[in-house]
Amino acid sequence: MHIDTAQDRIVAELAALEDWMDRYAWLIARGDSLTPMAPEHKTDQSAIPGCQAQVWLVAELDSDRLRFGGDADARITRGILALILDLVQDRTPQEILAADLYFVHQTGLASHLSPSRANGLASILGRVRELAEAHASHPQPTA
Amino acid sequence: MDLDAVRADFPALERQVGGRGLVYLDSAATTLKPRPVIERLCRYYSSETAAVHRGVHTLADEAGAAYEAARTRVARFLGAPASELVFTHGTTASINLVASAAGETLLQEGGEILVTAMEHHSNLVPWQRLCERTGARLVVWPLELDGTLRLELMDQLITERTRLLALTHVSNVTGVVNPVADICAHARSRGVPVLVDGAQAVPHLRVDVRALGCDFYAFSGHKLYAAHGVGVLWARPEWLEAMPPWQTGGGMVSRVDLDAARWAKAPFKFEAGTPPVAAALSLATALDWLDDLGHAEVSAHEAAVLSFLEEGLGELEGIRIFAPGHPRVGALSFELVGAHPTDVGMILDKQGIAVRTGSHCAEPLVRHLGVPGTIRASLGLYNTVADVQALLHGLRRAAEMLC
Repeated sequence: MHIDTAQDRIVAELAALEDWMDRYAWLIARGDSLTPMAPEHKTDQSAIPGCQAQVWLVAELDSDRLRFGGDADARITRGILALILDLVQDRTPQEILAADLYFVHQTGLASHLSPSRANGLASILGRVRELAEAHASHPQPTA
Repeated sequence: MDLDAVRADFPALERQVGGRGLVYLDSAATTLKPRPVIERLCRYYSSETAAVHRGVHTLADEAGAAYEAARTRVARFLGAPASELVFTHGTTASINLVASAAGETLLQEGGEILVTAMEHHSNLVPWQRLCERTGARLVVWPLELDGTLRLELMDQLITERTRLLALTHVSNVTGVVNPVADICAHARSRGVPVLVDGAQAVPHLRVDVRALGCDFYAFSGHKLYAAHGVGVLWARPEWLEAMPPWQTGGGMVSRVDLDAARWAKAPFKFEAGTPPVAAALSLATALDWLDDLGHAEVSAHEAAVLSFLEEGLGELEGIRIFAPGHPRVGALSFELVGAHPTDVGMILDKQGIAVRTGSHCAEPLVRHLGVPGTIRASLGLYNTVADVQALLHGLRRAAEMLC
């Protein structure tokens, strides 16, 4: 699925919900579906600073695709993380870097979850880009 | 106190958040501003703007006189003369001033700085830096499991090696009031000066610095219904005399040559640069306005709302209050067991309820409490029993979603 098709689905699903309490409930459910990260991957390197919740994110290149793993200790933040990871999972670094993640604006997530709220939205998106850039400029040698 | 009339004085309370009237329970971070304070700022910026202590023209004279009258007014609030009151930019600046200006004098022959483990970062990090600079030792007064001071350790912690004790009057996390007068009396008997962080105390308690027996007292205007950008440092006159200037520049000198300068007298010696004039005037206005409301009535109202809050939280399933049953003012921290405080805060926000979640710039204390953060509800004199009921209702909804 094209990343924009996936984004449009998220926008539609959130728009169908009546208010922010329902949207938070939906995000919490999304977060619960995220595969928990193994404790040994929760390191200072994988931690994303600047969030009130603790958030961890790792990525490795599998042939030319990025495999992300992540976790958060707060459930709404975990839901936001799950949403973002679903969008970028198994895509090439170039595809991720070229994507315009407009869903954060169209869903109202960007304005409702401002960076000052320390919920991690901006920090998570920033780390996804950093990881994509690192793998785009330093591709791992293939066997 | 006519609560409806008081609330009508706060334009911010007319706001709608999440489709409902704002329930503001974050006054320990900053209070909302009453109309007289806002009008005072407007008046200064509309028709009275001038730099103080600089010009001979009418506006400068008026601004200078108003600024000095504000100093007298704020000093009176602490039971002190104007000559002992330094305007700073906030509690943080006041503490940094003492750590920088008095620090090296205090620690000429080494020794220890004693702080408590419940301090706000602004009364911890300046002392860490001072100890790094001087090689002095930072000694930390440990806490009970519930986050209150282990008072039985006072005697062994305040020793002949202690050069200064820095502690908060009221915890910004738990709202618990420290027995500062007793601690100051004990420290004085050992010849140890005491700096008190009064940021969370002055909005709720009447403070007389001489009765308290401390050497330094610091607070911020913006937690006391005044504008942001003005703070206060009260210090005993002997300290004001002994301390060298902190920041240097214009306004703090009596004569300047190219190779040297002489300092003005205290408090001006500590007020380099253009001071926060409008904010200082607004602080004097806020104090007059509070006096008109009556301290006893304000205190009684706040205490009633706070105890309603503590009782209401106590009856809610899954709520754990930190330091329950201790004497407290203005604020209270708790957790919803099994839920992350950030989630709770975000869900409350969507119901129009503003609380603070996280570590409240007191990471060591929150870590000591063994949680990733607390939920803090804090009160201003405008809060009502209905605000508390809204919070309790909001917490029930949060529990349904999260637990």
